[in-house]
Formats: sequence, C-alpha cells, structure tokens
Amino acid sequence: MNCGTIQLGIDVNAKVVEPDIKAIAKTVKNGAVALKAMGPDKVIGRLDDLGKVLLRSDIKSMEGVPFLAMWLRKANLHKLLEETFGDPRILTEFMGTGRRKVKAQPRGLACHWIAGNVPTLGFFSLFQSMMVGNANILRIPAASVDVIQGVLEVMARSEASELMGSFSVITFPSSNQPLNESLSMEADVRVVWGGMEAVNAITNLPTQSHCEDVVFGPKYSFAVMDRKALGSPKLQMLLRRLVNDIVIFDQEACSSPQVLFIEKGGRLGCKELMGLIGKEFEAVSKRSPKTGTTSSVATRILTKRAEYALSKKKDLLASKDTGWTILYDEKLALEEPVQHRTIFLKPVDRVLDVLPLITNKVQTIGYEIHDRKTALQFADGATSAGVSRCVPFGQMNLYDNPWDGMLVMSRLVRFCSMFTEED
Amino acid sequence: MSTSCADEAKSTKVTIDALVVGKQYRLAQKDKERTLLPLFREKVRQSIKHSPNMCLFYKRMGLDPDRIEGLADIPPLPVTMFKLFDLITCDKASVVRVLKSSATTTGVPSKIHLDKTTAFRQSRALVSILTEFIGNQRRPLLVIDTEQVNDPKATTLSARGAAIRGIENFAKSSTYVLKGLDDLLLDRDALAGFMKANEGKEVLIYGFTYILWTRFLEVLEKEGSQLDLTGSKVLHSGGWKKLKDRKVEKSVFNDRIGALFRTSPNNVIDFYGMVEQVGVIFPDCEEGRKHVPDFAEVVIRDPVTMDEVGPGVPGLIEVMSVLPNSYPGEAVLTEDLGRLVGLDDCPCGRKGKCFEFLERVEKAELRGCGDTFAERSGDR
Repeated sequence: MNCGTIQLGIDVNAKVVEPDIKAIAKTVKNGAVALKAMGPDKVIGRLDDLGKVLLRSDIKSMEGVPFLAMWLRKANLHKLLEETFGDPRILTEFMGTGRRKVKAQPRGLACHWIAGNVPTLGFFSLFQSMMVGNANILRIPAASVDVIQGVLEVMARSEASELMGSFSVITFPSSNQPLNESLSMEADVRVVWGGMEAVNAITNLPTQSHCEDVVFGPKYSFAVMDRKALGSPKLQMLLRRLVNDIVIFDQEACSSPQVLFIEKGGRLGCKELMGLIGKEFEAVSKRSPKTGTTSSVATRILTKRAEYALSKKKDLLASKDTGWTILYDEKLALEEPVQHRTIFLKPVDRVLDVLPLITNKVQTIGYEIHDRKTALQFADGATSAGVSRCVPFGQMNLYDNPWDGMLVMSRLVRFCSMFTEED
Repeated sequence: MSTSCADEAKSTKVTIDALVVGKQYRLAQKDKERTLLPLFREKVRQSIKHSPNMCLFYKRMGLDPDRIEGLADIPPLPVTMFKLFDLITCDKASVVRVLKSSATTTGVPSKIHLDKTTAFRQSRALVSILTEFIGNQRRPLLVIDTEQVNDPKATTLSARGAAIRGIENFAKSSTYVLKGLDDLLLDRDALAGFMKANEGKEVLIYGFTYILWTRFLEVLEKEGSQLDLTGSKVLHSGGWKKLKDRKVEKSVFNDRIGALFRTSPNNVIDFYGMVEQVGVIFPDCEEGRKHVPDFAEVVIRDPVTMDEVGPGVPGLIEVMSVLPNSYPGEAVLTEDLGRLVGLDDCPCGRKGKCFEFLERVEKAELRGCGDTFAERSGDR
C-alpha cells in the first residue's frame, strides 16, 4: 500500500481497479500511530520544511502553491494551534485546574472529499488533521491529480516524508456510489468541500453513528468599497488587489468576489472606475493569461456581455477576447456568478444598503471601507447576517482560521475529560 | 443617411432578392465576401436605426458600420438574446408573425418577429436551397409529426412548424402521421391512407430527427413493418443530442431509416438550421458536408479570442444571413460547435465555405464551493 501517493485506480496492467478502501484505512491508521507519538510540535517542524522545499521546487509558481508554502511556516501553524486550543499542550496532555482535566484526542480516521475548483484546497484540511494526530484519506477529483501529485512529490523529498505513512490520496469518479459509501463508512470524521450537489450526496451517505461532519459547502463572496476608499490616493493599488482576488482560482472559489458594490457620491464616475479596473485586468492578463476557457465558459461570458450590451440601464467594459469582463448595472442584488474574470459592478447609495442581501450563504466580503465607524457597523451587520470573513482586498482567497465560521482543528478532535485526585 | 448609404440601401433590396432566388452555391468565397459585405453593412445600419437595443449593442461593442471591412468584423449576437429581448428592426406594425423556438433547454422560447418581406425571403430561400438537394418536383409529403405544430391560424410558429412549412413548398399534399401534441402517437389510419395512395412511389418525408427515430422508426421496427417508398427523400433536422444520448450514430440512423422506407441511406438528408435563422438551412451534401448558400455566411470563431478560425479548427458556429428585414439576424452566434472542412473545393462542386457540425456546447455547471447562487436565490 503506497501511502502519501495518489492511487489512481489503475493497476500495472493498465486495468482499472478500485481502491481497496478498507485496506487503505487500516494502513493509514497504523501510520497515524507514529504521527500521534511524534506530537504536534514535530509535525509542525516537518511541515515547515515542506513549505521551504516547496518554495524552492519547480512547482513553486503553480496556482495556490506559494500561499500553501507560506501557510506551512512554523510560526503560522503554531499560531493556528494557539488560536484554536489556547494552550496547544491540550493535544498531548490532560490540562486544566482542579480535579477535572481535559485532553483533545484525535478523532481517528478523517476522510476528506475535495472539490475540484481549488486543487490545493485539500492540503489545508489534511495538514490540520495531521497536526491533531488523525489518519487521513483524501478523495480528490481527477482534475486535481497533477497539482496534488506535484506537491506529494516535493513532500517525499522533504522532512515531511516522515508523515506520509499516515495518509493516502485516492481518486475515483464522484458517481462511484459503492466507493463513496465505503469511504464514508470508514470515517470517524468526514470533511467535505464542494458545491451543494456534492455536499448533499456525501452527507447523505451511510456512516458510523459517532462520525462528525465538517462541511465547507457552497458559498458566495463579494466586495464593497465606500466613497472614502474610492477617493483614496491608493485606489489603483486597492483595485489591483481586488483584481488579484478575482483572478485567482479562475474565480471559482467560495471566497472569490463576484460583485463589487461601490458607494455613490465620490468624485470618481462609474465609467472612470470601470476603466481603472479594466487597466488592472489588462495588466494581470499580460502577466498571467487566462487558460482553460472552454467553449461552454466562453458562451456563458459572451451571453452575459450581450445581455448587458443590449440593455438600456446596463453597461459593460470587456477585453476584445473573452479574457475579462466588467458588467455594470444599478440593481441591488447578488448576481449569478459568471466566473472566469467577470465582475459585476453596482453602485449603492450607502455601503450599509448591501447588508439586507446577506445570508449565511455569503462567506467572504472583501471590503475597503475607510470610514472606520461605518466599517465596524458593516462588519458587525454582515457577520451577524451570516458572513464569516470581512477582509481587505487582496486577502479574500487567503485560507485562514477561522474558516467558514469554524476553528477547523477543534472539529477534528474529541475533547475528553478525566478526574484526578485533588492536587 | 448620406447619399452613398441611401444608394447602397436602394440597391440592397434588389441584390438580396436576386441572391435569394438565384441558383445557390455558385459564388466562390472571395466573390461572395465582396458581394455580401455592403449588404451586411446595410443590415447593421438598419438594426441600429430601428432597434434601440441593437443600437446600444453595436455601440458598446465598438462597431462603426462604415468601418466594417470584413464579415467577421460584425460582432455576433448570441442566440439566447432572442429569448431575453424583443428584437425588432422594422416598424412594429409590420410584424405579421412571431416564430418561437421549442424552448426545450431553458423553458423560454426564442421570439423571432417576421414581417412580410422576411417571411417571403425565408420561404423563397428554403426553396432555393432544397431544390439543389431534392429537385424542384412537387411530391406527396409524409410529415412525421402532428398537424398541430403547423396550425395556419396560430400567430406563433415553432421551429418544427417552420421547418414543415418550408418543406411544404415542395409538397403536392401533406399527410401528418402522428397525433397529440404531447403524446405524438402513431396515427395508423393516416399512415395507412398515405401508403395506399403512394406505395412504391417517390415521395418526400420530413420529421424532427428525434421524433422520427423514437415515435416512428422504433414503433414500426418493433412490429417488423417496412414502408415501400423506394427512392424517396427523407429530410430530418433538430439535432443529435438526444440520439447521441441513446448511442445512435449517424450512419446507423441513415441505414435504419433507409431500410424502413426502402430507400437508399444516401437519400436520408440531415440538415442543420435554427428558428433564429429560418430560410438558412444546411443540408448534408453527398460528401457529408454542410454548404453555405450565397445569401448567407458561416463564421467559425475561436471561443477564447472570438477571432475567425480557418479550416480544421473547431469553434463556435456563427450564422450570418441577409434575409431578415424585421429582426437582427445579420450575425447570430449559436451555442453549437463546428469546423470548416473546405473552401471552394468540395468534390460535390458547391462553392464557398463548407463545414461540419460537431456538437452543442454543454452548459457548464458552476463548479466547486462557489456554485451556490442558483440555490441561494431560490431561497429568497
């Protein structure tokens, strides 16, 4: 059994074979014994080395890899543990004052179903699960194999290779119900990343009664600017950051902005603003040309462009090709995403007017509200209505803690208590 | 309008009519572009003048009609726009009929507004095209559909109805052999009556591809029936998607349909067309290629750059037509993929571009964890 490598379900004779989930589960559970014995500090040390090797590797510029490498820094991982558990020693010893002590024990086997839109996504839940001592199996979509294989190859050359016995990566079609069921039945915790269809399909699979679900389901994100930010001398830089947020992961991530709301009344007209955003799109298109535009995606973009071009109360600015598109209208709404470098631009009287649109399906708001009082009021209103993150432009897609309102590692352990004789 | 524009407009009508009634597929590509360019420039001007929506569209797409130097310079209108907007390029009072598409994918039909000029041209254009494939002799027409899709009193007409109406130009008489708009059950009496009158004769048969297969061929094959209509031409249209889902290949389709009617598989003619461009249809030639009539053009565009691509390269099919006077059909971008397979060089002798249809563009679902909104807006 090859742990830490991708099992493609193809044997040496090129015959399609199904991964033996039970055998894989047994192997990674055995591997996790060493992981637990190692303790979080040593695991973090190995992961830190992986981050460094990744930054020197030939995949260092692959989308998502630089951030993953930075995220793996020792200081960041220690901070994550502290933010989650307060005192991370709770993972290795019973802690507390008085007779009652508490220890965070790994849940056992974490099975992760990873979405295809952000190939590196699975590593964030995998590494956090490893830090708390779980064995892991990741089911990844075929489209992510290349990126994940690349990271695993680098991992094998780093000190983190020691951790590779505790997890396995497998791929099979999402429609393979028996394998999904088998994976689900082995899980002590199911970690599910994906759209509504995928989440429903997986959470409805049979599982053990004690199994915990950690769901990173379908979410929508947008951006907002107040008139003070629009008048800022740093406006062009802010827009550059926003465009970077739009461009990364083909705008398919749950944290990708789909709409930009701008507060009316500034000295900048909408046309002018569209031009400034367009300039940033042009610049980014030169640096990293869009790839993977299918005819289906192109049709979606062209159709939306035409709808806006034909409408009296709408406007647009777009590249000559299907590279980028800014769609302007005044309807106060969250639009169906077009993705692939397409942003809806909507003026509002006050940024606070956006708050009634927010439900718990909205995950991240990139906000540049430079009026401090309004910013606090907006963030409080937005998070109260369901938003998990209000972050400056440029940070929308940075995976951080908490995510989707969860301190993720706290969901991957069981908090267990014991009573001692009085000290 | 400047004097030159007025002159161009005046001469346009004559030229369009001449192109439509004339023998098709005669113009070599260079001559064709030279002939069509002023006509399309005038079409664009007409759309700008009569349709505020199209005026905005061309303005926002940065098009100046006086600066159109090639047919591919005209930005195409995605076909879905006929579902979202009432696009009219003549006086509203002149509209005599609204064609509607079948609305199978989205539930919203395309609405194509026709004035008398457009309806006449479309009808004449169909005759010009089909004459090249089935001759000009009128024959009994067996329609594998229900008469309800071609109700003469209706102010709207579906794509199926429009196709039947076009082919009826070649019919001595029409017999519909399905009944019930929803059920489409075989009308055995009607079929028996038709066969009694026409057994052994060369007739014309038309049906939507999927209907012809599932509601007619499969029913009769199950009974082991054959119809002796030797030498008859079988025309069908409407696309292959549903049949591809059932793993029916074109060669199998032609063989089995041919066997059912006791006619050669070569007499089974698939044609590509759409309700948004009635009058412009693309029947397969003897070489299995689709040719563009002299009054229309096809541009295959790279979906990423939107530039025109040359032979062999797959892209989005754009259909340009000079026929429409009452709606902006000058350049319509389909949601179909195709590729050019020749230029003035088809062994069948037809000039101009020839292409092949590849497939419908699959509607891409929004992927991953950012796919929420369809479900979310339903909540609200």
